[in-house]
Amino acid sequence: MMSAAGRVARFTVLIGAALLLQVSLVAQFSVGGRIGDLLLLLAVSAGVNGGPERGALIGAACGLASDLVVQTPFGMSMLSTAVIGYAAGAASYRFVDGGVVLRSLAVGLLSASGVGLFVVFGWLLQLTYVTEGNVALVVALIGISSAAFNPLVERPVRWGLLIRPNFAGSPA
Amino acid sequence: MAARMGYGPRRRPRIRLLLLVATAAVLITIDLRSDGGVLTSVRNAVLDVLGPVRSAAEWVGRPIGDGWNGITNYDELAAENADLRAQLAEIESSRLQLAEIERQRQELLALLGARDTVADLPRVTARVIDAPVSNFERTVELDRGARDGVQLGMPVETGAGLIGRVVQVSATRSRVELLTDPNFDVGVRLVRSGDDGNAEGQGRGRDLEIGFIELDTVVIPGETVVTSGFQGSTFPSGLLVGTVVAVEPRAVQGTQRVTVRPAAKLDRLRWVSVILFEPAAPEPVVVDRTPEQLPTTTVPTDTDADTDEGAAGRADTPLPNGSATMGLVNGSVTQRRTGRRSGRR
Repeated sequence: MMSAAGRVARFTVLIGAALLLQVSLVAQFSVGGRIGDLLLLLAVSAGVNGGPERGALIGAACGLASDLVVQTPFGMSMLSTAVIGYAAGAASYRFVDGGVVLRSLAVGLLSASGVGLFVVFGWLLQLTYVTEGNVALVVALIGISSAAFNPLVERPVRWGLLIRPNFAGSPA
Repeated sequence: MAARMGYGPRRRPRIRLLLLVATAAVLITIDLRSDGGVLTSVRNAVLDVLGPVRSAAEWVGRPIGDGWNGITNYDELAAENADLRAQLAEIESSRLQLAEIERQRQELLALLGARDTVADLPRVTARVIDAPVSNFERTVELDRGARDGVQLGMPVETGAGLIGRVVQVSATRSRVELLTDPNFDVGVRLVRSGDDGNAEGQGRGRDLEIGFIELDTVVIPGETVVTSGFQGSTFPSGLLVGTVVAVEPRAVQGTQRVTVRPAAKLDRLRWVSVILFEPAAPEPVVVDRTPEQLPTTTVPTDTDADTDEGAAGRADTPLPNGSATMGLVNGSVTQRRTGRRSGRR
């Protein structure tokens, strides 16, 4: 049985890798100047596969990693990603055993909601550069890209959460 | 223990979420209230660490990324291509004329003994890391930083005109706030009329706006707008900002709103120049007064105005004990109180 420190180490590796991929690879591929969000996908997937508590914790860690490289106020990504990670975990019992297609659709929907939440926080903080522009396009792009890449992300997330592949949602 | 205290397994996730939300709220507050604190230092360090990774990824991925953009933004690229061809034809026709105007300008500068300050300013050429890390980026990243002489607030331009100012600097990287950002403003001058105003960004893809230009000022679409470079401004005088595209009179306020299209293309920036311009420090307020003598204010008289020295000169002219004067020195109001003149000047 792996210690808590081992789990933390695993997810630190996962979040670090996701951050590197986000700033190097994902940033190269834009549609209409908009890109996907790998850290948000990781947080939502962790919530779906690990439950609300892990979703919130891993979501907060992913948000903090994102806060290190973006220009929005430090903590804003942490706030929205922790909340959406928790929400993903709280809603996961409805679809966690429903097959990869259903899970991916749910992850896409939750990721899009995460962006929406981020924009709402930006609006509350009167950050015009967050609320301006084509927010609908960003929400749609992140929803679709998260749903499409969820099957690839699920496996490392379950490795990080120590979940056996055949028993989704049940820690090993 | 947790169960006995009423914090059972069902409530624990909510409590943890609340703690995380509170932590995030505290971080946001610290970041918004502090200016260049520890959080900025952490971000600068991360910018330095990830910088080489991003540069390498961009170098490797640029051909693939360009191909991808060609597929996803084909219509936009085709329209831009047609637009550029039309502009090229216009530029070709005016190139010879501009060369003659430039020659005459240089001759006049030589005759006047004046320096072409904008052209003489040192510059650092930087490559734009054209890969936003999030969808809500308001800045572009450059591969030059403090080691290359880049400092906060320095203006950044392309050959076509001003694009923004430096808002974050680490040792090897910097970030530039574009002039279309809603937080951006710059003192500008309408070249034809000579009127000054303040141009403000209106958001990505939108033109700048200058408010409070007097109603009787004749502003014509197509007029060139440059930086005014007032005392203390972080921009030198004479940097090209853009051209006037619309003028809207506002009779009630007695002003007109002028819309300015940036001269530089802000999308697909590749190479830019950071102008290593440091604004002159404002004139210090000199207090020279003995405490036992109360100051009195001397209003400049006609006799004062008739002297050879102007207002600036009067500020340094020895005055009777306990008198004070205010004058305009290099565009900023300075106040000089003089007491017992004890040789301190």
